[in-house]
Amino acid sequence: MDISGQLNQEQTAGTGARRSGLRAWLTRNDNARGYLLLSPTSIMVALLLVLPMVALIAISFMTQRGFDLDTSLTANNYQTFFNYSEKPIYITLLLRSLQMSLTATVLTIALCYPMAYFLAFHVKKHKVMWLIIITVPFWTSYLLRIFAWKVILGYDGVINSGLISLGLIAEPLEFLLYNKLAVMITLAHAWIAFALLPIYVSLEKIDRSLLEAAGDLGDSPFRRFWRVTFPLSLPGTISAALLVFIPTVGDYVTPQLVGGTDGIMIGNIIRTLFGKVNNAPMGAAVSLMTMLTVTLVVCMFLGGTTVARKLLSRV
Amino acid sequence: MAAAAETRSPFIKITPIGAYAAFFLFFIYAPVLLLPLFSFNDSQYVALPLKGFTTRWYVEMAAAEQLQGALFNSLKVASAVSVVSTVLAMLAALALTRYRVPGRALISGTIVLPLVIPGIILGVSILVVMVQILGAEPSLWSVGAGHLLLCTPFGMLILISRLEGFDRSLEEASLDLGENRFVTFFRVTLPLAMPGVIASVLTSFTLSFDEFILAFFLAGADPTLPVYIWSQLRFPLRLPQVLALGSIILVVSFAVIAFAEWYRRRGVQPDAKPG
Amino acid sequence: MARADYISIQEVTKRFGSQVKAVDDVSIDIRQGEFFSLLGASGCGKTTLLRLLAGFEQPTQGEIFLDGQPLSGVPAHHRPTNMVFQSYAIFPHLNVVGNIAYGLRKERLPREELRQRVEEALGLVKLHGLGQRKATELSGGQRQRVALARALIKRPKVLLLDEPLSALDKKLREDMQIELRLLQQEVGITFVFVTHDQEEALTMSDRIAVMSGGKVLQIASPNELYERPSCVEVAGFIGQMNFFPAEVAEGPSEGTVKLEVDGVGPTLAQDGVRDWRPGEALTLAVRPERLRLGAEAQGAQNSMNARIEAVAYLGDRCHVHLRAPGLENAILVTASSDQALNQGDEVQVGWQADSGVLLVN
Repeated sequence: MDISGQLNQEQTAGTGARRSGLRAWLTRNDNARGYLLLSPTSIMVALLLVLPMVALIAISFMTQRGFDLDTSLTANNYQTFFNYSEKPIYITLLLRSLQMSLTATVLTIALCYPMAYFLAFHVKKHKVMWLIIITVPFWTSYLLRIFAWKVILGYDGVINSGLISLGLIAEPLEFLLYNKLAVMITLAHAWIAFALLPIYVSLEKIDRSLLEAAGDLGDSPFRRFWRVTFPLSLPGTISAALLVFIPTVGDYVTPQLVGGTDGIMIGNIIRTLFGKVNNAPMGAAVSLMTMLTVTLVVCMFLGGTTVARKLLSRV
Repeated sequence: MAAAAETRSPFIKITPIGAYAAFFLFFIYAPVLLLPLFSFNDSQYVALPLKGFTTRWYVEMAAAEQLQGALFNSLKVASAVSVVSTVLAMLAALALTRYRVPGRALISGTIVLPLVIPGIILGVSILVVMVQILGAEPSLWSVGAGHLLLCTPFGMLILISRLEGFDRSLEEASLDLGENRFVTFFRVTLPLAMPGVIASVLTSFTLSFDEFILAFFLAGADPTLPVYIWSQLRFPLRLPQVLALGSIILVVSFAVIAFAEWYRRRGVQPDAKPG
Repeated sequence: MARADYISIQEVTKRFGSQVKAVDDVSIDIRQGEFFSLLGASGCGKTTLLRLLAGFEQPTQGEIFLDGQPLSGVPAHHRPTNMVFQSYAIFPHLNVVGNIAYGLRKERLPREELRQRVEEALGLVKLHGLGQRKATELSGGQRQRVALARALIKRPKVLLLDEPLSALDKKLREDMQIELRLLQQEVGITFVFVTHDQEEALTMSDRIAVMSGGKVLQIASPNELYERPSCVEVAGFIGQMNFFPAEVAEGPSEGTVKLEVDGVGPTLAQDGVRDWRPGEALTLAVRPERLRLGAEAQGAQNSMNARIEAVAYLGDRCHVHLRAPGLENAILVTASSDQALNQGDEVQVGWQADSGVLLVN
């Protein structure tokens, strides 16, 4: 930082001038350093996220003609998307995906909340060990975990062959695989550890003396949970819900492996559009509509929970 | 839901919630443990009852050339990505925790955004840029780029939490004693942030190694390991081999991440307060 | 010869954002070799001023000179100042020697000389033999000494100390106060010491700057601050003080001023400084130990009646709280325990004309 020499010259220019030039430089200097540090990462994100998104939006307004791309702008793709009478598949699948994701999210939260509660309040020692044990399976291959469920739920799979060999059933159960149920179980399993962490953190942070005070003031354990614990854990629970909901809407691996035709989701269509059908503009349009819808749902959800929280605080 | 303080025994008491915890763990681990179980099963089909122990699936798997190629590809990509993403994550984490730069909320939000955008959309958008705009062929480079986008935010979040735990005056003390910011980073910040750095590298490595969705869209002629596995899923005969491969990946990932987590939580705490 | 303006802070203002003025047009001259304290409540700007000296912040306006050289634009790592941080900032991954010698890396001293300097520093802070101890195994007091040694080994022109004793318990703190003072005298370096504890500042300093709201209220020696505070705020901050709202009845003649004190009546006071005009509103400030009670109040130039509300026994002295009709606040008197003073007693309170200080409102 050898600006002292430069500044010595500025000194002779008179007190007023020196001060303003100096001050501007120094303020710039500190922030400038910050921006400089941020720039490599920002550039990476700009190139790999922002630019592609812009490109995606742009291409959604174009048309694919055979192997060539007609770059003249048109809203055709979006019209097709909303054209329920002729091409119901898009809206249907989008709504179905939203519904399945929402259900899977609710299922996931319902499954992991008690566990998070257990960890926060009933486990005294080695909480970190527990967390590691719970989260580690999540870090293994997503693909493999879904595949494992295929293997479990299948016609000749583990459950069926196990139940048959135990003599509990004669014929394999058919409703286990290749439908929405399978997709939802698999999704819940895949994301459960991810969802557990935010809920656990917000439960853990609750000041225990608040609970003691509530008990002291006459609340039964159940009321205490409902009036104190649950509302305070809402921020974490909401985060968890979002963390599960948003990525699952676009999932295509799970539906492909365990969903059959009944369990197909919008992600599969997008994949096909970019793959076999080779209609990137349409695929882009569908992708963007999916993202938009997800954002909309999330905003409504967040707005709704703010209302819910206000209601809860009056209980 | 009585928050009873059971201090007598370190084991779980058989309460309803304790039973639930057991079920929960079973639910998480059962599918995952199934893979190694059946990889040693002497049968073409993944079904009960078990038919006997064998290691031949592992042998067959190891011999498959395509598999070795895919494995090597994955290792290449994961190694490069883990290092580059950690460097980028560290730069960003330093900037965000040490400087009051205007607009940093926006920038940090954008960096983390890939975590909440469905992978398929990230994949297709990068694909669009590559194929339609640049006219390039997808390759391991594009896979690496996609993984970089995904791994950097993870590393950044890990490092931010590590750097924020710092006593800020440690770096100021170093400056005060005559070292400039560059040297201060290497003499003070880095040693104390090292557990976070290691965690970031290991986490990014595992993430990239296991990642399928982006790799599927962005890989060209050279598949990564998950993409290879996907292609094998069509062949029922190859199923047990896939199980063998999957089991190994499972165990290794498990070990790496467990180690990273453990390492991250140890190490000298840089927020030592005056006793 | 020691310069009177060794450190010269000239009209320095520091603004954070567009509104908050942490330091507001502050000018201070500090003498070479002085033990100078910045005293004030939290948020008064004293720590910011210290950081401006250290180079961790740059002034928004104004200039700081050290030994004749301007400091603006000079970054912290180039300044001949060193700081002892409030949290001590001991590097946890190094041992004691590693910490102390940290700042000497740049100088690339030969090994033997380095070892000697470190030994010297260890001796200075009485930490002989603890060189190999890990930083994480030190007590609070030991960390503080390491922080001191680490700073002093660089032989800075100025040592800056940011409330270094606030984390220590009372007994240790008092011992360290004396030790620091002796150390400073031994080493001869200019110390700039920040504290919120007025007793601490009074004990250790050559001069003190009392700060509030980013401004300097008064710069004076401990004695002068105590006996002749310049304003109500300083008077109330240092020690205990009784305040009597009053009005000037007659201007000064040979230093004596006649006052009309609310609820008390005509009072004589001494003030050779200001030209008080009749009718001016002011505050008469009298220290508790200057007020006499009962028999000892006989013959005092000023007196009034009051009732004893409470007596707090403190061994050799008592703190007596009294109420007088017409006075809103209680009066605090420090009296010797020999007197018989009981709750409920009506006594005379007396003081001399030169016992009080006249302060502008």
